[in-house]
Amino acid sequence: MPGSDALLDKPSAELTELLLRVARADAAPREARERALQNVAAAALGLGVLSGTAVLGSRASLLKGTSWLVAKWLAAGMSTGLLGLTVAQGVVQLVAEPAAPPALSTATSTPARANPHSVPLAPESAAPLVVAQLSPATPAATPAQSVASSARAPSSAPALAMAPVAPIAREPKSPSPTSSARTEATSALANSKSSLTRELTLLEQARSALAQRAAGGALQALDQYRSEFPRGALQVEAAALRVEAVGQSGDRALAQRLALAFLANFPTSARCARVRAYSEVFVGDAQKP
Amino acid sequence: MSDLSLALDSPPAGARDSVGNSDTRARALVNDHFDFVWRLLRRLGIPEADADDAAQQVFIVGTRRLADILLGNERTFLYGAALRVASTMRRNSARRARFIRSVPAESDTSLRTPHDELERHLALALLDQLLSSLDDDQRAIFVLCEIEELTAPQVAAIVNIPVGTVASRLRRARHSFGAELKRLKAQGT
Repeated sequence: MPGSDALLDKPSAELTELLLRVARADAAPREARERALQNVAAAALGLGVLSGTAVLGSRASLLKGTSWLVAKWLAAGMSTGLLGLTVAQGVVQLVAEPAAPPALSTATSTPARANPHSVPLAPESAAPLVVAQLSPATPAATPAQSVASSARAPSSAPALAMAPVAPIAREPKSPSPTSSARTEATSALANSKSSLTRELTLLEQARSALAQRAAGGALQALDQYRSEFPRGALQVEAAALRVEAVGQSGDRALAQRLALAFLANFPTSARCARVRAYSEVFVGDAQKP
Repeated sequence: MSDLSLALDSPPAGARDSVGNSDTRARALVNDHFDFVWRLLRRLGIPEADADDAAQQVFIVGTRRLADILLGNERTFLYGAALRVASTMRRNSARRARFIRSVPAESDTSLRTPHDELERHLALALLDQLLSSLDDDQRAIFVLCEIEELTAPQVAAIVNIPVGTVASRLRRARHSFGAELKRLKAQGT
């Protein structure tokens, strides 16, 4: 192994002890632990959503077979932005405090399919990443009882936007909620769940296609995602998947550009390590004679 | 609620718990065992770039099955989950090995000098190379005993094998590890 000669020069017993000592001290990156805390909160929430369905008294069929998917990707959304948290907060409020004012309105409840800023679908057009500008939680936001404590700080939310899209914002909490407000919020939650489920399904399709080395299928799902959700909640995940899909399809130059754009726009994303790894491979390929 | 549970493919028994209880226990699971799972995955051959995703999978499975995990039995469950996730990821990684490379850790590097960091990476890379010479059973026992510093009875409980088997696998693992190290040293000189 290059570079390890100095290590191998050490006596065996000393070297073994050194290797084991280093391994024992090998702690997980802080970001990974934080992400896990967010994910398990969302997964626990997934269980809660099931309980909450009884409280909501509707949309049970929506959850059949998709609850796991929702929990999994909701967690992804939470790790990359605050939108998932917004949804999660609302669900926690509805579930844990059915009598409390729900006071939420999620961005996914506001369809943005006619967004004039959407970009062409063809990946070969060096399509820029469409990045929603996620607004940080407002200071007046209600602290979530179980999820917010594990949430990433607002400052870590991606703030760059490559396309000038309207910020995704939460409506301020109503000071005196009424039953109709709650019904509205419940409806908004149901709509956002439906919308989120569709987003999750498309990205899961892309991920499955990638796992089967079917780059075309993955790109098709990602194009569909971009078409339906130009300001989707899971755009960071979609952008990361696109880097991989384009790379798999053989267009290394475009994949490299997308990877660099991703790293520039989402420097705090948990996906950075993987995207950076691809990026390095592409650079290596470009330097080959 | 019961109707809904019955309608699900794999009804999570924990659904009857309050969200707060599930959340608290799930968070404790992460706080108490995340480094254990992370190191386990890394030393079982998961590249650093993939270890995050792998650990997330382990803990989401853990959270989903929370109600099935007996108190005090968390490590046993997480160990089993980590083995399965690592096995699946290694299979998938083999197909896209070209795309995945180990990248520097994103955190905990600020306090280290570049030299320390380089030595740490080299040491871990060398360790992983040595561990890769062990078979899967030996490797798991070696990692649990030598890196996690668990006792033979603890390992036996986690892996669900007799203590004697732990001892014999550890003996063979140490022998293989030493032999591979000797080979590498001879190769390097």
